Amino acid sequence: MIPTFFVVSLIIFLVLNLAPGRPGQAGQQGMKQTKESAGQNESYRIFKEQFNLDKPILFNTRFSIDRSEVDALVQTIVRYRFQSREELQEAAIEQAHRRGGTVTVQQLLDSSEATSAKDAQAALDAVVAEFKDASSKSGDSYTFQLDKLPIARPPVGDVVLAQDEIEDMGRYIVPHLYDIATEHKDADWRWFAVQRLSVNAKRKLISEFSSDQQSEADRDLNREIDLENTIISDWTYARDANEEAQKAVMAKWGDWYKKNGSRFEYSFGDKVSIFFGDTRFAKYWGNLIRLDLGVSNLDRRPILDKILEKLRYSITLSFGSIILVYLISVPLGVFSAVRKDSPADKVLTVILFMLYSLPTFFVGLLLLKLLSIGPDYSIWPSMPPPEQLEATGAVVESWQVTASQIGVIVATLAFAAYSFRGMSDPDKRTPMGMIARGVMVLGVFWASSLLAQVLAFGSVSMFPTGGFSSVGADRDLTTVEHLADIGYHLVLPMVCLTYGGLAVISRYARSGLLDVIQADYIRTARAKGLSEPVVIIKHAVRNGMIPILTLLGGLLPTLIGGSVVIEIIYNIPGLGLFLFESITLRDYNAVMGVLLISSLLTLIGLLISDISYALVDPRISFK
Amino acid sequence: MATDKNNTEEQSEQASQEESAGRLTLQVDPNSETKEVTYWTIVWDQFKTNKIAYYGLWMVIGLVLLAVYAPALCLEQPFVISYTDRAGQSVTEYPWVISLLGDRNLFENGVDIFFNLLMVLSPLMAISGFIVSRITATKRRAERMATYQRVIAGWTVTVLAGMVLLTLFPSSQPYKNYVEIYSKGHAQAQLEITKLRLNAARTGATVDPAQIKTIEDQAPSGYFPPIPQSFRDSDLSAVLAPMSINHFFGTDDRGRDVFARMLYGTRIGLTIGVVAVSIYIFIGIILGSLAGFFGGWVDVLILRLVEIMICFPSLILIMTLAAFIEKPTIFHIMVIIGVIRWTGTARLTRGEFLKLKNQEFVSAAIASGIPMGRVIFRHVLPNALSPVLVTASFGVASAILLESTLSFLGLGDASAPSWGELINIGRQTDTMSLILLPGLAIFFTVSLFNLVGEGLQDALDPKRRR
Repeated sequence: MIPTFFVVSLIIFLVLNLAPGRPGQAGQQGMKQTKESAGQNESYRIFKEQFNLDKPILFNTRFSIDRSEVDALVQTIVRYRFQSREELQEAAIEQAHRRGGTVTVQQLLDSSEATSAKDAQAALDAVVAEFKDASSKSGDSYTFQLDKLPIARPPVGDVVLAQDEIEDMGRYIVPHLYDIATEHKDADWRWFAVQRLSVNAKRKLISEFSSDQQSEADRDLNREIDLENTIISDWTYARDANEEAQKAVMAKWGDWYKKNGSRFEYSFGDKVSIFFGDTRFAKYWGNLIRLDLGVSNLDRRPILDKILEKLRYSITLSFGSIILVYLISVPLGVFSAVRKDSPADKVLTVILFMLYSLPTFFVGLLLLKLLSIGPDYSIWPSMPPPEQLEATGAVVESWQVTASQIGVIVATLAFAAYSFRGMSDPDKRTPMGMIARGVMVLGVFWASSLLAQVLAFGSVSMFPTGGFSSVGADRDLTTVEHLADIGYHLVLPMVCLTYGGLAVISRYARSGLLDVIQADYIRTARAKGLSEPVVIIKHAVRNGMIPILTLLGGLLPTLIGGSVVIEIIYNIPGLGLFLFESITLRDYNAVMGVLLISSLLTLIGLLISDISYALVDPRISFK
Repeated sequence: MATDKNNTEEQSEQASQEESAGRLTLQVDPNSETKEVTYWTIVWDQFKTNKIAYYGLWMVIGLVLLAVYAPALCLEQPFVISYTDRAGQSVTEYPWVISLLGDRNLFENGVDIFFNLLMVLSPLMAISGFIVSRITATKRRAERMATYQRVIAGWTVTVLAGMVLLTLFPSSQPYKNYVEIYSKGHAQAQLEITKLRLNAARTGATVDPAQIKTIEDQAPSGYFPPIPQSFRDSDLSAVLAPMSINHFFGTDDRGRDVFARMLYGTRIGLTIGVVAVSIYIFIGIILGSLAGFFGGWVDVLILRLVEIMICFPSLILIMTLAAFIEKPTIFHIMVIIGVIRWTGTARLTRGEFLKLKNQEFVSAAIASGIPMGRVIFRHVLPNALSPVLVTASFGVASAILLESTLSFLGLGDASAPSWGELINIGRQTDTMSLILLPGLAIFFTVSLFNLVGEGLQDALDPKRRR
């Protein structure tokens, strides 16, 4: 069971992490656009660290990252942002685009931020030097071959990705950043590298996002780290700072790197542990073993708490309906097997078959609209609007009601006449048969009067419109009343969850019993002179019901899945509704948690069905 | 051969199985006129005794025909129309037939294009089927089936090639509202005739019939499909309209005709059912037969895989997957359903293989040096297929249910007209007809497939044979 669960968690993890669209990012997308403030940037970084989104998915090879990769990333960002010379180049190129390939120094002066003709000339010369093959000079105007011009600015998306990536690399690119900061010839590169260094060189606190797990020693260490981080974050300089200020900051960094540089040299053991350990999956599993499913993206509450809170609603629903399914379907199956090919069996077969084909969400909606919204809500277009219906109370007393009453009486009488036919013969009259027929007639009366009410008024308000219990029920009601209230709220959802399984299980119960009933030992039991109920219930049913126990395992996932739809329709705050909301809000940890817990529930269900198999069938034993 | 592709496919499936199973049965005299009895003819006779399932099968075929010929019944493009355009020139156009395959603005969905292609090719298919049946009428059954197989393979390749071509070279037409052109032109002509009559009455002169005739001739003339409604164009003047002559089932919240959407939804439902089930039957059969035939560690591995897949409540997993795909199309949904639900088929096939692999004909095949792959897939598999056929039929029903559930939750293909999506609209706008009609359509389709599955189950079960 444990290995299975491990693979299940692996699959869930992979599915959610490899799905297109980075999970968890949707809610933050807006703030990740180009011109975010430093504070927002910081909060996004913390968000990523908290959810381990800054780590690679399965394997981490960042310890051997190449300088050229870092250079490419930095170049993308630096080119996009704030540069004097490149800005001028861009202006020149933009001009060239606009003027059909030619640009003069004067035009450049007019349009760009260059302050003197000399600046503009220098900028243009720089452009020409850079794209030598693509342009030609005549006088002070330049002709560019437009199709050969590189795009001046990298697209915004690339810049965002590059920023993300540099952020995600964290400490692994500190040596490269330090190199760039000390050696690179371009002042803007150096400036950017120092900026990043002051963020990336920070050390992680121990158990940063769960303070209750920190020991006293951890806290001391954390204080120390925090102090260092605060100091480091100040070691930056403004873009237009003079040489001296830059040198002063770089001197600090030089000292720091001399002291701490060894932190960024990894031994083979370090590399192995980083390769497997510093990844999203490893962190996820590490948390999972500690029963920590992470925190919700929305309100930062632990997912496990939220799920456990929702679980009781879902468990009530699905286990309740499983019990109901078995309680109803086994007698039904036995009945139709004993009465094989009788009219009752055939009618039952047809009804169950139709139930099996009805979509759950359709039935749920229909029952909700018909039985719980109430008469002020008219579903039939021909009915007068509710105000009129109320104002002229006579309408309710009109022909519709009379017709429906007559309909109910006729239907009930017809059914009674049909089911009690031949009952005048005393030989056929058994007490059980009479009671069963009476119950059936009552049921038909009830059902037809309900139908008549629905037809006459459009809808009746027999049941609540949703929810698990009334508002404030746990406060105001006694335990018994509370339970009754919950039961009252759960009637319709239970009906919806039950009827599908009912059809399947009772069919299997019927065929299982039919297989058994022809067996020799049943004939023996009858020959012994045992009464028919004893033969059926004691001898046949116990053996015939073994196959439907295996179905329990299969029924559970169906019910958990089906309860999603029902919970959404009836607004029951269970696991399904939680999953649906988490999916629409892209709450990544919550979806993973719900998937995990529901597969765990299924696993438990399978286990239960295996155990019950052994309990019922003495031939099977798990030695 | 019947006029319709799916119909022929059904036949082909049967034919191939009949042939493979036919080897096992005794053939008394190949030239005799009596009907050859094979396993599948017995099953077919047995199936026919179950009247409900038998008619259910015919209704499924009818549903497929409805899906294929939906544009002939309901499309806003006229078969032929001649009208005077803005430049004053008289033009005759054939928008219907052009729009079927050459208008990506109208039929953007691959499913629609596939069905349109089937519709366009169906007369040719019918003719070829007829010719083949006449030619091979006197031949032996096996030869006849072989010919049919070849013809069907040819058509399959043609349709696939057509799909590839249409995908590679999409073309589209400028948007023209032919319904408006037609009705406006007629109104204009009526107006002019009335004016003419009025003038004539005022002056006391008689109206020249020739003049009226020219006006009438100049008015647009054309033939529309019986229901000239679009399944995707919104009519904002009729949002959530009740049922009427114009809109049989009313309109939805964006003013789209519900009848047309339900009709084209048949295509979506059937395609989802058939394709998703084909995918998982394919995966299940291969994994199941490998597990059952080889046993040992292969069996253990595949059973572990099945066990793992069973742990996921499939609706939840499918929901999550569909939600995390940025813009799910129905192809995504088919693939998701197909990849997740193969476990049942795999277990069934494995069980059948376990039963069959120790029988003499398998040992004989292995002993005569036939390659393993051929033994598995040509000798054992055809005999293990019958229970799979039953699960496939039930599977189509449950795949349709799954897809409509997804669309109901708003996680399906937003552009495709799906029944579940209509119910979702009905739920959001409290429109009972939008809940009831698509719901009943789903119920009807699903129960048809379940009926056929039940009939097949009975027909294939030797214990229940009467």
